[in-house]
Amino acid sequence: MSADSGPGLARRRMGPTAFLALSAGLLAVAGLAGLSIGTTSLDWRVVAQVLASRLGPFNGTFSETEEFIVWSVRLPRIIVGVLSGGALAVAGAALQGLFRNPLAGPGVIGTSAGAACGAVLVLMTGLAAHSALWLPLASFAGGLLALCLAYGMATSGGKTPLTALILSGVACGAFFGAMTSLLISLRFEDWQVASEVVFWMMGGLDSRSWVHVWIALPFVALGAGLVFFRSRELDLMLTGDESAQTLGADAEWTKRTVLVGAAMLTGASVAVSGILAFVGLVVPHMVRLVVGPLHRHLLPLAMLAGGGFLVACDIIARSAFAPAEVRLGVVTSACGAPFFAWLLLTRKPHLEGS
Amino acid sequence: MLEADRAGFARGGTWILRNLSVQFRAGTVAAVVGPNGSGKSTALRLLAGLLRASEGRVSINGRPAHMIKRGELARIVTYVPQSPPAVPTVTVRECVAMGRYCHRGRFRAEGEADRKAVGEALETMDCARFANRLMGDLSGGEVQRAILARSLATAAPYLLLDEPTASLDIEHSLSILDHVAAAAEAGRCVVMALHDLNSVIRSADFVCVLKRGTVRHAGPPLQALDPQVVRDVFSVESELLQGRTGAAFRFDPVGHADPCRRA
Repeated sequence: MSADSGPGLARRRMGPTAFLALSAGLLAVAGLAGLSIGTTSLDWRVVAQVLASRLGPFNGTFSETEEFIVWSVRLPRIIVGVLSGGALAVAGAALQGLFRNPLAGPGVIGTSAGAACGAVLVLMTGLAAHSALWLPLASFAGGLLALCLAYGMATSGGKTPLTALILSGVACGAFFGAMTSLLISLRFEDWQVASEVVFWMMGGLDSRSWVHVWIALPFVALGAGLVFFRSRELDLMLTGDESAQTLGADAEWTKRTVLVGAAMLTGASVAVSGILAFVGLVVPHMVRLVVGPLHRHLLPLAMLAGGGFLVACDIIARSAFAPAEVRLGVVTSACGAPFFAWLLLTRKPHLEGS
Repeated sequence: MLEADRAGFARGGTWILRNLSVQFRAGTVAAVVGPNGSGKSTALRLLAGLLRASEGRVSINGRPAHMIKRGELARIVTYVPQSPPAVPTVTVRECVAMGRYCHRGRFRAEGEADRKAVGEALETMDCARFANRLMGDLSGGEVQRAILARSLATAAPYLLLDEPTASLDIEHSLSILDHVAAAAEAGRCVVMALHDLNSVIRSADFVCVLKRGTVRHAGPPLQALDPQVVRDVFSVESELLQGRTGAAFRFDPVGHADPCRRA
């Protein structure tokens, strides 16, 4: 036994670079598969030619229909999936770190319920039909409102104890959830609107276009930027508020930046793909198991892995019962919940306090 | 110099600590003692800049502690709370390396100076042997040493420790106290809250005795602590015994003094 080996090494990690290569590879494969698989099945070489000709000065042999399917139908769908899954995973990873709670996820500060409530409101009132911008804007507003309420309730004297924040976040989430149900039940006899809302709430990437990409992209970039900016403080926050401060982190500002960043990420994701359960909870744990809990590596890798996971789930959603589509939220839960159960049963020490 | 000048702290209208005036200089080991709830932890957290004094002031090298930014403060004063949460999924080395975050830019990777300081801290606290193990796999004593190593890695000249030997066995608590004394000899200033008066006599150059939020006695341990003080502050009868390796207290609860000895 060498001097620095020990029981800890037995369940030890893969290097971040190796995992980066692995998840980037998986994302590329899932992306290519996502572009090829569908009601009209395409050869991956045709897909590659379309991409090459659109992105660079290459000419390929493909029909206009093929180009349309790849570039205007499937590619935006996949990019929205990558953005949305990545956003949820980063938000979840950051919140789990901030709260030192393995059960934290984008839902824990009430933002996803608030975002859903905002979105349902515009779907119900018919505003969503006027412009594609209403839905994402309303879901951002809802998410931020929920965050502000939760933060305001938990804060006193310039300090926000994390346990208070988790409780007020859960309370806000429950309230906005109830409001959403109320809105739905008020218009339940209007079959078409109600089914649209219920479909949207199950999450999905169907008929996403470039508009949705441009709606989500700036918020995902900004939110991820805010959270990445605090990755060092997030490491220190793992050691507790006081230790973090004494090691040089401003605990209260760290909480504020990370919360706003996570709310932006969650809002962006809910706005363009509805509610997708378990992505923000399970993907960060998966990544943490492999590369450890330090956020400098965890956050970017969670983004990649979350994107890849969602694109893969979307392929399942499209092809499992083709030509019918399963709702994406159903697939993420159906894949995520068993994985989480397995994690709980086999890796308890990893979940404690991480 | 780390200095409190008539500093006090109140929470919810109740004074927890009043009129604390002490000065701590490099190269000394100071102990803060007192019964539970006497304000020891509050005193350390005031000195660490974690709490802002409600009256009086705490200053570090002449500057008020609350005016110094966290990042800079971390390089001057480091504080180890009583039983801080250990992160079970980081390795000991990663844990100790967190002590270096305050020394480099936000997105800078670990440099040569950081690696050297981490290595030295691991050596000093006798953690190098298990540097690559996960914190969650360590015993209580090993965790405590790793966390002390993290505070050494900050290279802060002032080290404030809240009960560093709580929950440790005799061997490990003695070894922690020796490491702490070595850190002071190397030019640091160590302030510890301690419960065990015999550890105080053994390791401290200076002791500050607190009761109900005020300093009752201060000075070198054998002057500030005698059976009379122990009875006043802790409500315990005691006897100071001289042994081969130094002095030590023997305690009896008040009213339960050994009848044989009295006869």
